[in-house]
Amino acid sequence: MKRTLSALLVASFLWTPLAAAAVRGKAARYTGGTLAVFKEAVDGTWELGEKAVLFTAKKGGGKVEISYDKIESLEFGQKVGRRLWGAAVGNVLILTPITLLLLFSKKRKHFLTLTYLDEEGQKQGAVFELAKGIVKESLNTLESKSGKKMEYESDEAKKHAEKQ
Amino acid sequence: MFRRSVARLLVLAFLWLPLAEASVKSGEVMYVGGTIAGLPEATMGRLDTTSEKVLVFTSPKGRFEIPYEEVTSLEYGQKAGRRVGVAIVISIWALFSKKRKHILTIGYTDANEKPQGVVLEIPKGTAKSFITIIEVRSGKKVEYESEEAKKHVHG
Repeated sequence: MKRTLSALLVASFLWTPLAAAAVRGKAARYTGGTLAVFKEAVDGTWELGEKAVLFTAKKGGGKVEISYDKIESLEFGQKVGRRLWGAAVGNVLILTPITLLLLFSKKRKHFLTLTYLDEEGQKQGAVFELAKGIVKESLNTLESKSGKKMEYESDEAKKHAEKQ
Repeated sequence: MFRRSVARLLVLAFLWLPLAEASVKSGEVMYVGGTIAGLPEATMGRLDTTSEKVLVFTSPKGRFEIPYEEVTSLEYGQKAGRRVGVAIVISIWALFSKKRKHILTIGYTDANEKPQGVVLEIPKGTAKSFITIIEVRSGKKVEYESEEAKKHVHG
């Protein structure tokens, strides 16, 4: 009974960070919006082309091309959280309070919301989670090529985007 | 005897906790309240955004549709609280994080030109998607109840 309960507790702790796995490298994730081509959130590749940005889903092969000159608005925000579960798991498994130092660091997810006109002139909106490594390049490129000003959801998001 | 009782109590508290804290899960939406006749408050259901014309809420207890072009207002807020229960039962470090409920309020006019309103609780991580969809299709801009809500719109 004790063993089962312990295993259950550890499994539930370990599952949480995996379930919330961040987007890494040069990837992006479509998290939602009006794009009919994607039925649900999907990971994919993010390419900043000469005339448009291209997102291609890893699964299903769906893709969307957003022309810079059709972009109507740009918004950038973050989800900031403490590494609570990392600290908790470390504390339980390694039994050392050193892992609690993780509480002083923050994990960030970076979100870009675009509205634009598609090829048929219909207004569309999409929310993408961008990997840390492509945030600055993406924001700069989108702003300069679309001529639209980036709106920031908070001062912290703006400060962090400029610092990167 | 006492130890065993305490242990049982702790196990029960742990198992009960997710249920006690249960808010809406992924894929679900709660109709918290509003002016929909016959639909009880706190009804759990689903929100269908596949149609370009109407937003559809369905549940075993009833359904409603909101035509996007009849939307008059869109508001987003949060109810935030510390994880005191988790902190007491599992780990004090849970006090470092907050649990948030994500509340979307939609005002619209019905087929009889009467103003209506619904308050929905939506799952963590979906607020910005729902807001973007409704903004784009209705042409209305969301109002955030606070700077804090705007800052934490992603979860």
